[in-house]
Formats: sequence, C-alpha cells, structure tokens
Amino acid sequence: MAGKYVITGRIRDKDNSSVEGYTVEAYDSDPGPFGLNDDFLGSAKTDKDGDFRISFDELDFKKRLEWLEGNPEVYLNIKDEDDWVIIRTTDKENKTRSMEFQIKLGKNPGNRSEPDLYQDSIIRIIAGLREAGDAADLSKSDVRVIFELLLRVLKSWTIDRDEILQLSGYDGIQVPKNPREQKHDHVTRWDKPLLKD
Amino acid sequence: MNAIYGTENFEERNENYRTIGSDMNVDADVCIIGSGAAGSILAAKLSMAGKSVVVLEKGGYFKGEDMNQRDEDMLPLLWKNSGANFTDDLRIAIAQGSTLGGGTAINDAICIPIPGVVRRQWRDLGVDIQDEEWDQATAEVSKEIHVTRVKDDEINLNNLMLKKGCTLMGFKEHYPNDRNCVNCMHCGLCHLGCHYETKQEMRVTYIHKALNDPKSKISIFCNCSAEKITGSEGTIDGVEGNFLDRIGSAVHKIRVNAKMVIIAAGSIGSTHMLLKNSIAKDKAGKGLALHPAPFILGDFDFEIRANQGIPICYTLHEFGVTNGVEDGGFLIQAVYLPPLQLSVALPVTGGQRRDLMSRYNYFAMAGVETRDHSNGVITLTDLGFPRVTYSFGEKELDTMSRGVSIISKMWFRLGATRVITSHLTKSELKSENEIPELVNAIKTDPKNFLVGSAHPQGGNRMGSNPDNCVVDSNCKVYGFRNLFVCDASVFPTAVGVNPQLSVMALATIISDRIKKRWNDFVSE
Repeated sequence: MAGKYVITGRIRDKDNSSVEGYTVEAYDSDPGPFGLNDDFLGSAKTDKDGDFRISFDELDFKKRLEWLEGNPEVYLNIKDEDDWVIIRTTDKENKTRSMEFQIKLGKNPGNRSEPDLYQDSIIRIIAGLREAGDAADLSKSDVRVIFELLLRVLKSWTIDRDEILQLSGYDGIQVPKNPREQKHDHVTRWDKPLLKD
Repeated sequence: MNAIYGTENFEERNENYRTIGSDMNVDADVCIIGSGAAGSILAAKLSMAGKSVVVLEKGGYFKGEDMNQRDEDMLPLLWKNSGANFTDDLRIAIAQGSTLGGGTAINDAICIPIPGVVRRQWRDLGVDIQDEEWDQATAEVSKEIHVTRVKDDEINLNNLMLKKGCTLMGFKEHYPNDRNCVNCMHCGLCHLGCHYETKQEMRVTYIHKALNDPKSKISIFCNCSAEKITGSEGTIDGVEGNFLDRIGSAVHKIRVNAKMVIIAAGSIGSTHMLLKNSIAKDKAGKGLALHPAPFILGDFDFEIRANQGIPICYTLHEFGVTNGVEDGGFLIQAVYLPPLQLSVALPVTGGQRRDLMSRYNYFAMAGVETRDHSNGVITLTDLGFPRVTYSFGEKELDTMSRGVSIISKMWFRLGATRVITSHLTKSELKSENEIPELVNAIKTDPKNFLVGSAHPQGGNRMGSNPDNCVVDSNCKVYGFRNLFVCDASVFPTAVGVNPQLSVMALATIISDRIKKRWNDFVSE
C-alpha cells in the first residue's frame, strides 16, 4: 500500500514550557543487535512551540528483503542540544500511518520506599458505597437496578476488567501501574485514525 | 514552616509534607473547610495577605506521579465516595472531587466565565456583586491558572465530529474551549488526575504559590474530615475533626481554634456541614441544581478513537445561557470515557455490553449540559449522611429532549449506523425517524433516563433575604458574625456553564472583601 506516514508531536520541559531546538529521530525497529538493522525514517528539530513533524513513506522502512514487512514498528530518539539521546520511546507498531507524540522531559527516577496507594482500591470503593447505600431511598428505586449497578461496577473493575480493555482495544493507559516506583518517560503516543472528509 | 499534613506515610512529595502521628491542636486566624476551587483561592489569598490559615481537606494529597491513569485506582483516590455519589433514587451519578484541590483535580479543565445573563439574574435575586467585580476577579483567576484557548490542531476527531455536526445543522455559536492547561499532553484522562501536571489545578497553582510564599502562614491538613463547628451566640471559635485512614475510620483528632471559619466543601458537602451542626436548619439544603447531562453515542463505520486527546475541546453554545437564553437552555459538548466507566454507564445488559464495548473505537460521544432549575433538596439520613433528592421538572425534560435530539440528528447525518442513548427502554436508535420515540420515552418515563451530573450547585443560597437565604452577599452566614460559606453551594441559580471559573471568581471577590473588612467580622 502506498502512502505517506506522518509523525507529529510536541516537546515541553518539566515546567510545561515548550522546548526549541531538540532533535527528534524516528526509526523502524527491526530484529538485530544494537538496533543495527533499524531503519532510519526521518528527523526534525523542534520549533519555538516545541513542535516537530516527520514524514516518511514505505520505501523508508521496507528495504530490499523486507517486502513482507507489513507495518513499521516506530520509536523515537529524542536528543537534546548537545546531541545526547535523553529519551527513547518504546517500539510500537503503527497501522494508521498517523502518529502523535506528546513528550514531557524529566524522567521519573523510580522510588521504592513509598506506600502502595493502590492496594486498597477495592476496599475504598466499597467504603464509598456505604454512604450511597445509606442515602438511597429504597421506596423510589427498583431494587434490581441497584444490585445490577453495584454488581456491574465491581465486576467491571475486577473480573471483567481485562476483557473489557481487550474488547475495546483501549490504548489509553501509557504510564506504569506504579508510576512512582517504576522509572518511566513521560510520553503520550497516539496512533491516530486518519481524518475523513 | 508551611506544610501539608496527612495520614499517608509519604517519603517524598513535591511540597513540604509531614505525616500525622498524633492528635493536633492548632490556632489560626482562618480555618477553611475544603480545598477545592473556592477553598484553595480563599486559603491562598488570605494567607498571602498575612492571615494565618488552616485548611481541612477530607481527601488525600496526591501528586502527578501518583496518577496511574487507571479508573479502578484513581476513582477511589480522587473522587468523592470513590465515585459512588448518587441521588437517592440512584438515577443520577454526581461527579465530585475529594482530594487536595477538590473538583479541579478531576475536571476537564474547561474555563467559561460566569455569563452576563446569570450575573444579572443573581443581582435581581439579591446578590450584591457588580459586573466590574466579576470581570476583575475572572481576569485575575484566568492569569493565575493560565487559561488558554484550545488550538485548532489540538482538536481530536471526536470533537471535530461535533464541530462538523454543528456546521451541518447550520448553527452559528460554536467554538473551541478555553482550558486551564499549559502544553497539554493530550492523554485524555483529565478526570483521573493529570499525571503530567500540565493541568493548572488548584494544587499546582494557588496552593503551590501559598505554600511557598515567604510571607504566608498556611497549614493544610489532608485526610481530615471536619465534623463540629464550635462557638456560641453567633460567634464561632473553631472546628473539630478527625484524621481518617484509607477506608474512612478516624485515627486521630484535630481541634482548630479560629477567629473565622469558611466552609468551602462544595455543593452537598457544605450543606452537610451546616445541617450536621444544626446551622441554618430550615434553609440549608434547599435549591440544589445539578446540570443533568444525558449523553448520546454515535456508532460509525470508521475509527474515531475518541479517547485520544483533549476530552472536551469544543462547545455548542447556540441554545445556552452564553448565547443569551434566559430561562434554562443547554450547552452541547463532546466528551468520552475510559472503557470501564463507559461500560458501567451504558444502560444495557451482559451480551449487549460486550457488543457495544467492541465498538469503543468507533463511537463519537456528546452530552447535553442542562441549565436546570434548582429543584433538588439535601437532607440528612438518620446516620447523618447527606441525602440528595432530585427530580426532573417538565422544563428539564423538554430541554434534555431537545439536546439529545440535536446530537442524535448530528450523528445520523454524519453517517452513524446507529445511535446509543442512556434511556433504559429506548437505548438504541436505528435512524432519525426513531428520535420522537426517544423524546417520548424521556418525557413519559423519566425514571429510566440515566444521566450524569458533574456540576452540583446551590443548596446554601446567597441573597439579601435572611428568611430564605443561607448567606448574604459577602457569603457570611446569616445569624453569625464570623462564619462563611463560599463555594458553588451558594449559587442562587445554576450558572448554565462549566462552573469552575465562576466558583473561582466568587472566591476571589469574597477573599478581597474579607481582607478589606476583616475587623467587621473578627474581634481581635
């Protein structure tokens, strides 16, 4: 399929100010040591708004022997003014030919000694239901509706969670489960649907 | 030294933080209950003006890195009652924040100034605030929280569908929103907390400024539920409360001796505070508005991926108070929900839900923000919890019908193969011809119409008549010298727009008035 691929994005620093003059290099990740087989797709420098734009086409990632390769697995190297690579985003296949990256500098280093805020999530939800339950006027409500709602909430959040996320093809969660503990970059990546007229 | 206190044993926070290990007894000029859009501004402005301020916040203190973008983890941390906040018939889910910064931590950052029509109506209802005061306060807040217009190239496909629909239908008054966000990361998860701290919520603006201002004396107690307001003969002398653990059990106590107390616990919360302390008994709790918001999904044969990008970037103002509509009216805004929340909100059962969720990337979604009359009432249950009783009047049903008809038409005319509604008995439309059936269902069977409310307002009405108003134009509670209520609960009518900027402007005005007339309210 012929067609242009477009990557757009913006870089802001840890104070949310736009970052000018950083270099963004896009690659298609291919199997092989040290990324030696990776295809260089293009590069751009961020403008005064921190924006960058890279476009490439199939020939850029389908070399002689790669005619079977379907879609590129795209990652970005972000380089600062001294040409140090400060962020390398994770490989992700792109099928839509349109990608948006939002990048915020300042890696979170990961800290192991903080309390786990999420371990009591279910209990907190149940505690929240206590007040709702007391304030509910049972003479007004169809009891069946109440139970259906409660069960649905608890079921969605626990038993059905993975199924719902898989069914929906949800791509929205882009930070680790325990962000304070797990080192991670601040990158939002969207494989965007192409705009229709 | 200024600090935030709480019951979590944090090692490292952005601000100076101490873990509560024992009962506390503190003195302050002002004790503010609640740290939301109003509470934070009152706390910041008064503390930076030289008053010692203590803030009691029921929710926890979290920073960007605590926000892990997962509903099941973030709702219990940031939302009031973990999201289980309903009217007493469980038909309307009310979204409110309970965390440092209140609703501003979980809202979609929409900034619309209080409309001219509303200012005038409030003046007619006895609220003595002039246009210049509103304008000045709005300008001051807009600067502090960096209100910025959404750029055209930031508008995602879901919102572009709304824009296209508006143009197709020949509407004139529709445009991108202003938001309090700087260089948004477009993650689409504003209401699960901003991981990147680009959203200019209270915690990173007013609270941050106050904590780090060398002139200010401010202590913020999180995980702290205010319970008793003490005093005698119209003069308050302080507040008592409890520090709570994760499931809400009291682990330590606090007593604040204060010269002035300001309740800013939000709609429902502030009324709850008054009622459980037997203040304004026959007046508090009357006149609650909710901005009931039904939503409509359009199912398209091309991907929309509505979750990608800024959730609410665009608004249709044509039928709203911002376009001069005096009575009622509505706005239409595009919006989306992460799949777990959407799956709970869709009014269908088991297998149908699976079918719908598989279409998640193909839906466009918009909601009707209804400017309702203040029909709701808040009372106390026997156990002392707040109970919200609310029913739609004919006008509200009519408004919501008009709104959902417009959205349904838009989606069909843009090519939707079907439209999904939030009415339990008419949840799917196959063509525009079925819209009258939906309208009929709404009007004849409103009990089965599920709507959300993100903007509860009123309950502690502001005005010049002490017989039916809880506070005067300075937000001072009638019958008291030094007790105030300042937040959305004092709104005499719904504002008809996303209310945070109106709340913040009001808090700015009241802060300035309190500063100026301190000696009228407090005997030193």
